[in-house]
Amino acid sequence: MNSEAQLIENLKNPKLKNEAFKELLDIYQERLYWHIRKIVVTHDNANDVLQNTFINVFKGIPNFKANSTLHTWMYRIAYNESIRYLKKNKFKLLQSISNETDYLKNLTEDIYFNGEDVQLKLHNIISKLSEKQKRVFQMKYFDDLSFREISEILNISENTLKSSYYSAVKTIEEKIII
Amino acid sequence: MDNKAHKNITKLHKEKLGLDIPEDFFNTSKDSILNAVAENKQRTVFTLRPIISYAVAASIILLLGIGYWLQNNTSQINPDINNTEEFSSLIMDAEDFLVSSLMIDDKDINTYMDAFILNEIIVEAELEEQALENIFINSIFIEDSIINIFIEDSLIENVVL
Repeated sequence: MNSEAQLIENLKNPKLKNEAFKELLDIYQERLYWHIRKIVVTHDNANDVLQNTFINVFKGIPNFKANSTLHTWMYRIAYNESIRYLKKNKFKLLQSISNETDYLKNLTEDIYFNGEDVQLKLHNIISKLSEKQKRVFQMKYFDDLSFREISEILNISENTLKSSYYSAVKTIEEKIII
Repeated sequence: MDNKAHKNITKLHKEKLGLDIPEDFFNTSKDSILNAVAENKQRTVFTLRPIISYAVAASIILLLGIGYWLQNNTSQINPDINNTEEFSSLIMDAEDFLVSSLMIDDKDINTYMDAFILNEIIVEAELEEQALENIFINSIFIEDSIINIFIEDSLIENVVL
């Protein structure tokens, strides 16, 4: 039995569940935080969504059927939870995040943003990408997920994702040189 | 497990995107997540127990409701019977059905109509039976030669008409 299967088994065992959940947090907390942070932008929002994500993971583990890996299953929960959070606060967040000017305003107002001109320029370029290009670029480049994993998380075909990713990379390279 | 060692993930986000986090964030976050999960678990246990008592309470209320409804249903039949008796006497006393119907409330008019129709049928049936009896009694006094004519006329008069 591999270590992921073992971890899932421990998570489903009432006696071992708590210890296994701590292990799960150690492995995935940081990765999921950064995945969420890029969607909801500010640290405070990301912190809230991260907590909700792990609560949902804990609740959902007994029903986890292992149709996908634990890894992609948790990313999908985190992604859905982030989108749900944005929709719930849509008047404050969703519009401002889809609008590039407000996105940058939101970003720079966060006390946990310490970027300089170069970082701000990259944010500026990313914010101008289409939603699909933005997500796939961030998940591939920063979260180091494979196209197959991204495809499972976003429920989009791998070919579409590849095309979106290469198009996003091309746009970013062109604008960074300029 | 596909456990990619993302040790530099925080560094990458800081360098490339300028995104920072509070000091020792992941340790404090881990504790708050564990607390939140424990709190959620307790809340779930608390909310599961009353479900059984709700079901029991609902069953009791349902049984009481059925009992009350059955009782009410029976008591609804009795006044109807009483009303029918009252209406029958009213019909018997009053010569004109239309006049007596004016004294009935709208809500009771159906019961009154039923009682009236029942009364009409019984009286009419009794009268018809009496008429038939009269034919046979009278026929005793009629001579054999004209008995056929008498019976024919009487039957046409009393039964057919």
